[in-house]
Amino acid sequence: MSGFSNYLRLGYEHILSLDALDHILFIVALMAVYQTKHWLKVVIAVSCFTLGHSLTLSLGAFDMVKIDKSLIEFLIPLTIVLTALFNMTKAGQNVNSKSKYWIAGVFGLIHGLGFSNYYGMLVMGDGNYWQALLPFNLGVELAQLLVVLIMLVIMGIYTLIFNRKIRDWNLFVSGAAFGLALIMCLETWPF
Amino acid sequence: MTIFMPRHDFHVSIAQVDYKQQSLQMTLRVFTEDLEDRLEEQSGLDLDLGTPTEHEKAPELIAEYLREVLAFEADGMELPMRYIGLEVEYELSYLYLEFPCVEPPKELLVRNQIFFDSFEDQSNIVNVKVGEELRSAFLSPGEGETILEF
Repeated sequence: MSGFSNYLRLGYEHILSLDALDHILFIVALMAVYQTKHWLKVVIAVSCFTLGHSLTLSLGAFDMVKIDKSLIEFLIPLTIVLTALFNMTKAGQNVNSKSKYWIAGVFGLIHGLGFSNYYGMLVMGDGNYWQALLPFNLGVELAQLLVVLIMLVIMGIYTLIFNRKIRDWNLFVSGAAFGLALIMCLETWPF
Repeated sequence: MTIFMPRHDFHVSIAQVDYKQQSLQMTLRVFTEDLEDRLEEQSGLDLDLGTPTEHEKAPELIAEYLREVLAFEADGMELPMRYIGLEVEYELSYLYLEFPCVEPPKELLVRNQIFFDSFEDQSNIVNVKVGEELRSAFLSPGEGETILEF
């Protein structure tokens, strides 16, 4: 295998491990208000998330961003809590608004900070910066798109086969994400 | 309550290997914490890697552990290992090693099982450069060694 595919695999497997549960939970909350037919909007929102966290984790590798780790560990689940709450508002349920893209991008920046120590590991400092980071980030994106695909299928089954409203789905998923993330916030309370 | 928050553990090591001056010269990057925990658990010593109070037995313990988990076979011949030293930069540690090998290898068996005994989700990437040719091995507990062809 080439280096490219190895780093891709590393990013992919990392997101699909339990260690990245908060990552998956954020994506699930982010897409809770959409229906299966809005799949393209979901893909755009998730890609904004990838862009955001790719950016800060790459900066982390440059040692440009050094923020208290315990604060980051608290802010990450807080982004999930806020996203789930936003899903309960009228604005948050408007699937035609671009607000979710912005939320994904900005909150992605925070999630990327949680990855920043990984990047020292990925970059050896001899000119192979993108050789490792680019495929790693692509692997992360691929894994996230797989999560999106699985969720879209489940949502499709719920709304089309069981003929239930996406509103109920949103209440269930956002409520679950809110509850889990709130516990994470309390566990990581830094103040 | 410590059930829910993911630990963001990244169980990875990355090795850069260059064939130069009749030897495979390796820089192995690991997380300092992983290395220290593994060696301290085995030896019961307080190692303080990379600090002024580093235990005098540390280099010996590192070399011994690396000999257990690392190996190269060039065209069927196992290469001797020479541990050169360790450099610690905060969270990351750089381990320097050398494997003398007179001829540039054509078929190289790469084994790197470092921390497989610590974490079941450990992944070790080994990038090897011989001349202008670059090959990369991805090793995990499911596949602890692989053959690279040049």
